[in-house]
Amino acid sequence: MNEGNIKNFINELESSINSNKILMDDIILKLYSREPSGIEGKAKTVVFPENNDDVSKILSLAYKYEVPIYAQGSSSSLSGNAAPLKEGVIVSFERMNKIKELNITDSIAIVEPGIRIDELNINLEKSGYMFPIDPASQSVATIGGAINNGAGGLKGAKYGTMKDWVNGLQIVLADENGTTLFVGCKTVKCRKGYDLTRLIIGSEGTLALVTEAVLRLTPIPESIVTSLALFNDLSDLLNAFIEIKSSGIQPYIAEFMDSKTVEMASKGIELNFTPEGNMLLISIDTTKESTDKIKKFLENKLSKHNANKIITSLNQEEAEEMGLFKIRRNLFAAQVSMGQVIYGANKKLQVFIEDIVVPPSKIIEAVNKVRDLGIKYGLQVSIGGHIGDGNIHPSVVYDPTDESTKDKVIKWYNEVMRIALELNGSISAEHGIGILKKEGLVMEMNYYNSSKELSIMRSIKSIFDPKGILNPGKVL
Amino acid sequence: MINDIMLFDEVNRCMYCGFCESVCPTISLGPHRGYGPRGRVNLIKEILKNNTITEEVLSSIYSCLLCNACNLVCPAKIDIGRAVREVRAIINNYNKQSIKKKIIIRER
Amino acid sequence: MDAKDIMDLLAEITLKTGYPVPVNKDALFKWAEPLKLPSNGDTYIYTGALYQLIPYINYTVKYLELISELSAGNSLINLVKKIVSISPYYLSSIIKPNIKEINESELILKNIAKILQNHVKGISYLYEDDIYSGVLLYDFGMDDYFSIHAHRVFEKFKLKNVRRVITVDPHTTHVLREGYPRYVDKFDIEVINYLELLDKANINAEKLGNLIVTIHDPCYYSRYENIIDQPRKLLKSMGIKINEAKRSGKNTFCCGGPLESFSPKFSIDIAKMRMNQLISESNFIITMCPICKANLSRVKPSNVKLIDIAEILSKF
Ligand SMILES: Cc1cc2nc3c(=O)[nH]c(=O)nc-3n(C[C@H](O)[C@H](O)[C@H](O)COP(=O)(O)OP(=O)(O)OC[C@H]3O[C@@H](n4cnc5c(N)ncnc54)[C@H](O)[C@@H]3O)c2cc1C
Ligand code: SF4
Ligand code: SF4
Repeated sequence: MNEGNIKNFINELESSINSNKILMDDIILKLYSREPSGIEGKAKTVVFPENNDDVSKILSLAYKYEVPIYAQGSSSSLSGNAAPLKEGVIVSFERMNKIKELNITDSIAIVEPGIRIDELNINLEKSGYMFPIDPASQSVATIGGAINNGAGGLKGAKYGTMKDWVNGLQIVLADENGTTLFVGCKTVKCRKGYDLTRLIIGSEGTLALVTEAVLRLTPIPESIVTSLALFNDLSDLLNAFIEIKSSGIQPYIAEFMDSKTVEMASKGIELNFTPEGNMLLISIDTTKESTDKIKKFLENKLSKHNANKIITSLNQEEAEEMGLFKIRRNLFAAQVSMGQVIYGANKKLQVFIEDIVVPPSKIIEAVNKVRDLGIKYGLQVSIGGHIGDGNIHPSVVYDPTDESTKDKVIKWYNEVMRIALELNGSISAEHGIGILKKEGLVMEMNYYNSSKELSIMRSIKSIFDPKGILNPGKVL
Repeated sequence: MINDIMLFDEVNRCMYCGFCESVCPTISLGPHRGYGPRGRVNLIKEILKNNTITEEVLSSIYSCLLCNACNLVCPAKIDIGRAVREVRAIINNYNKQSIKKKIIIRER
Repeated sequence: MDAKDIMDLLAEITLKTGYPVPVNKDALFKWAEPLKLPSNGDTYIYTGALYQLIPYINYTVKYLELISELSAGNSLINLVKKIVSISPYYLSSIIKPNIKEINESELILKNIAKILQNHVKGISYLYEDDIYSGVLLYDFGMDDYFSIHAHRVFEKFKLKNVRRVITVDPHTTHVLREGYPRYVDKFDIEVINYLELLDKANINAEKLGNLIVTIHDPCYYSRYENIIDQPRKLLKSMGIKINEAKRSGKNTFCCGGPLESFSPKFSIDIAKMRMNQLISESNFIITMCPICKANLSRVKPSNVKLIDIAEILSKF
């Protein structure tokens, strides 16, 4: 994109929105050019819209001057989704973070995209409701980012992903007028022609910018029984999970971690039990009256499959007191410190988090294959994930300045995706395509003999974004 | 004196996850990410690496409370509050070599 | 206003007078006189004058802000800088903080000293040598100034044969434990905080009935000095029930005070956020730091009590 265009864009923008919404400091711009994926780009300016009008002005000017636009929430993406690949303009939604309407009778919240998921839930708690999509990054992840990444979380088995919890969206198009649309409905049921809401969800800021979302809410369960079980044998763990899942019960949370990762993740945190072995963390929501029954059910199934330790809490407060979620919450920190053990405490490290999904019945095979693959490449792979919905996150940590390891990691990354396809799964469950999975996407479409899908997607992209200025270079 | 290299190694561990931003009292008041811990950590890196200090960088470093709430949630366990204090000492030395810039803490 | 001006001024005044703002030095240890604490020994209460100084610091900063607003072209600030460099004491006739705030600070110190007098043997006071610690210089990263000042404090300690100091606030405690050993060679003074000391003293406390309180942990106690359980144990031993804030202990949320001199707006906005978190648990808030108390008191709703822990512990 040529320099002159961006300059003209900024000049004209300055005359139409308040200058304190425009950031030009070169050094601060670098803070908007990165992501935890390690991918770095180059932002030329950041604009902080405060309402829909601002966004509309920005997009119509961007259209006029053909300036690349990169929407950002918290830039916590893992596939290069939010990083400015080409020199362009960041539209950061951090100042659009209000809850506009909360309607418990209709079980909806209307929010601006910059609100963080945790923040929303703190506000909902008083009413006994929640927004159930809880990525491990929920303390930072914004609603706008989660919508555009199609994010999921720990409760995925029960509640699905973002696509299941958004009724409607206000979006702004990158056209001459920066046209505002409301796609979808305020209600859950909605047959408004083609489902454009779901088209936007997971589109990674490549089709339109989201300025408001109508979210579905659900009551916080009365009681949640949680078991933490440790198994010497990973296949025992997986079999225990499969049996629980096949007993007519839909777990509220089902997470697992392999033994090496458990060992790492337990370091530096206080626990009143010894965490040894592969961990299954499973929660079931129920009524107060049935908690004992559920506890017995869980302990019964878990011990039948040789769990060598089972700790069960009858409600959330108890789970917190017993520290059942501590190891899971420490997962990312554990992956980082695993790297520090391998490469030394002062190294700059990169954690690569894979995000494949397979049908839950195939999870045993998937885990075994991924483990063998790690051995083949001589990489320290930590394996864990949202087992409840078949989503696994094998991760490696490496020194990004070491080219030969980096090569190995990229090969490994591609082969992990192939494993998913061979087991009727998909290459990305919730983190999205971004830059890192573009090849993987093509691989998946070819694998399922569906390559025309890609050209349909390209056509859709060009209808929404005729000049190709929204998050260029991503997804397709 | 903790030296520049030790300080660089400390902040260089940042994974850019942003977890620290969720607990920081100043980030929602300031005009940009520089008013939060992820910003501060990465600006310290810039200061040490390239010797570049702009007025916005100064605002970021001096709007920190040194409260260290961020350290608690940082997966890389970066001692952010202490790192900010250390870089102030470094800036203070630069200043003597007459980098004269105003330090203005701006609201959003 | 330019935070650099504030830092330069406070540093200059500290170097010239030993205190960060213009004060009448003799007034700073007057509070201790009625207690008749011995002036010689090896274990001394060291307040670092922080409780006493907060009313003066707040007033001075307000004053400088006003001047900076009036002096668009910076001429007035430069004038103040000049005055400070010639006669820093001149300003002390202008700086007249709120008497009520001063009385409150003195009462807290008196309470702390009384509790120590009653429960720990062999405690002395430094009187005119209970001088400022230099903590603001350390926080501002003005390590060259801080180092000079710290050496002066250490010399005073040595002249008084100080072996151990008992500190009474989080900032002074921290700077003595972290800043002093870094800059003062052979800094061999043992630093113990009064809450740590009382906790170890195993006091048989009188029960206070059915008081319900919420603790505001200062960041420097909870995250730097690990003083979290001690105040809780002490309060519980008096039969007090603690309704913990969601962000308490290690997870505490700052009062906003440290930014008071750079951005009063940030400072008060953060205080409001914190006050809201605290009063959703109870309307009896306990502080343990003069900066927290001063800053939170500015946003305190009238039906809420905001009390330094020493006032409760004085019922020991
Ligand atoms: C340690 C760690 C753990 C994670 N765990 C999970 C997990 O369990 N599940 C999961 O799903 N993800 C996870 N993630 C990935 C990521 O945090 C989430 O996908 C999150 O929802 C992204 O939100 P964000 O606000 O950071 O978005 P950003 O990264 O800023 O943006 C994400 C995408 O959305 C676009 N975008 C943002 N806002 C808008 C808008 N208003 N309009 C249009 N486009 C927009 C961006 O251009 C980008 O393509 C994890 C990340 C980390 C670092
Ligand atoms: S120490 Fe600074 S960066 Fe960290 S939480 Fe406190 S104010 Fe924010
Ligand atoms: S939490 Fe730590 S690693 Fe993550 S962005 Fe903040 S400083 Fe960096």
